Amino acid sequence: MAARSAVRKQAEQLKQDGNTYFKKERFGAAIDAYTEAIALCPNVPVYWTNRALCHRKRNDWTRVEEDCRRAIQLDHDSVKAILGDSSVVLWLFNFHGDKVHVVKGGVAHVTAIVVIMVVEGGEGRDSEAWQQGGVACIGNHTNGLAGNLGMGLAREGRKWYWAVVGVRWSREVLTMREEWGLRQGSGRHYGFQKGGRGSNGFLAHYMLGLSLLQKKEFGEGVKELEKALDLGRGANPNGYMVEEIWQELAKAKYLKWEHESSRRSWELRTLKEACVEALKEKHAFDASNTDGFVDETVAANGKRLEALERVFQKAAEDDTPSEVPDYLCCKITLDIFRDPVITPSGVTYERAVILDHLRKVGKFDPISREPLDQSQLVPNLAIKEAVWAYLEKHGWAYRGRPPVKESNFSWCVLLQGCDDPGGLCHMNYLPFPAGGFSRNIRRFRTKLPCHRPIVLRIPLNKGREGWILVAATTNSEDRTIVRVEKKGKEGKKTTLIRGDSVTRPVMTIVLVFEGGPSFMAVETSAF
Amino acid sequence: MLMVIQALDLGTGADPNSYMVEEIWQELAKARYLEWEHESSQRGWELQILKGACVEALKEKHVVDASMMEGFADEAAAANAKQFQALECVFRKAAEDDIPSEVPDYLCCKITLDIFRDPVITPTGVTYERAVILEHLQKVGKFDPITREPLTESQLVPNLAIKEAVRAYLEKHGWAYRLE
Repeated sequence: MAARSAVRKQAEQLKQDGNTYFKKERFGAAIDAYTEAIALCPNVPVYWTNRALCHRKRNDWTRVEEDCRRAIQLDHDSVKAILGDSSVVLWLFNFHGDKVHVVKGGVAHVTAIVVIMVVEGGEGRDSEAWQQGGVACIGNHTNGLAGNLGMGLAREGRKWYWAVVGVRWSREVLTMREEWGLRQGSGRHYGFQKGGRGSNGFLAHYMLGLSLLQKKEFGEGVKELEKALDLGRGANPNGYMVEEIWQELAKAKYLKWEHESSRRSWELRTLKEACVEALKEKHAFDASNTDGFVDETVAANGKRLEALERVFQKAAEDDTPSEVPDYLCCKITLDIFRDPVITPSGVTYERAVILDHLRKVGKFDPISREPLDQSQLVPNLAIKEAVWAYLEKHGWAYRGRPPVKESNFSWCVLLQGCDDPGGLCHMNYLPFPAGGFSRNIRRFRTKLPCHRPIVLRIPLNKGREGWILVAATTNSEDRTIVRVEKKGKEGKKTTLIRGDSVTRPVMTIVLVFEGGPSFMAVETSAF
Repeated sequence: MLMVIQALDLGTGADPNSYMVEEIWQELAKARYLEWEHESSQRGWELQILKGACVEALKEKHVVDASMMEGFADEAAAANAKQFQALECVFRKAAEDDIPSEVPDYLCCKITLDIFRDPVITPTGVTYERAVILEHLQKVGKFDPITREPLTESQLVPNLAIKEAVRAYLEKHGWAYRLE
């Protein structure tokens, strides 16, 4: 016993050495250290994962794959496999002291993602702890169908708790332990450990996914990345890696689609050519055999070829990049949703964007202008599912989903320098004009009760070009626009003329007015 | 039909639960369905004819090709069969929108399993048909049917995005107007 723990201690020390080397970017030395640790204790997943990280830095993808697979295997071995495909385990737990015992188990078949811990009443500190865990889990995962399984099934007294657990990516196996140690204050994963122990379990899947993508095995690579995303989110939704994994996943899905769709397109093209040729030959043959009806058949044949063209276009429709429907895109960034939330006015925004707006601009709904607080945001699960379904069908839409970082989209249209006691002018947006909401045009209309300069900050998404058409109209003769200035980052002012093009992420327009109140219309287009 | 739509708008404003609104809705749905049926059968018929012409032309071409090539008859036959299969797929895909299938889950109410007409979302994120959830709140209890959290009428928010999604779906797949 003593010998074993001494060995383990030594291995841990070696791991620490390896970590130090890694930080200093001495990857060879790090690999050696981890290898020694593995030799001493071959069943510790984290040694393998860390070594894989080193291999990745050296682009040694074969070894990355090997080490990751081993790490994942070790993780799985340590927990008991319970069930097979598309099924979810229902466990009834009796909460007693600070251990939870499984009392009854059953199986329900579901078709959707479920990672939910649904908890029922209880008294005292323990129920609070459980509730914490429950709410956190629900917040993590996406599919509203999960709710179908929960509460309706168990209301057997207040000391009993339901847990419904499933993992989206793991359609093969769900793993659970039968006895869970409850740790006070550990918040999120109260007593549950999913495959991939500890908060770094996702790394192995992540790197495995990347290595598979290197080998152009898109299908498997995508699967692994999805697992990594689910695990990483579960461990720490705002962690530094989650965003990176998401980016890689989107890229991978795009590559996968590209690979598959180019093959499909090629097949369609050859088939179409064969048909067109056949029709033309037949037409020529028929024409030579019919006297007097040539004109008719020429016209008819022309029409037929046109119709055929349309048919093949329709058949290739899903693979043809076009515009993502408006209702699947955030009204602010105009990008397809990732985590849509809906406000009490009924409008849906991207979560990160609206949070940023609330922090930086003000506690109101950008479109309806009603007061809004963070706690009022509700996840729009139906739209989330709609987005998922759309992406499954139209893989090209994975491309060009820029990272949602603060500097990229900061939405604000600020009016400063007004006589309004609040310091801000009231702006009434017209979000959905009667003629339909063009994706690229945002219109602002504002009533200006003051005559001091108005500063409009109109941000464009990073990397995009946009043009700004500033048209100011007034409703009173004594109010004229003196000049329209464009203020660059350095403070340099240039006069903006209609149709000027801008490529900066943020642009300040200064509109100087003289005279009484007026209406101002500003049209911006970003593409 | 425009008058029906106007009547519906007026009706909904007055009292969403009134039976008259329901009647108008039924009429509207029926009218739209008939419109779709007419147009889609037209499309279907045209597609049939076009496909027939293609198949015939391809057959003749195969015959011509076969007579010019000596040997390789089996391979050619296999390739030809594949070609017809592929053509079948193409025409099926082109007609896909017109073929009744299942309306996606996220466009349907979790309770009635019918496509949404006026979707509202609850604070837990689940979307229901307005009339249905209102009835539930009145008759069964003031809680969310799926998550069982407490819920009142004032907490219901119209899910405009889904409403738009439903509209777009119905425009594309007119068969979904048919009511059970």
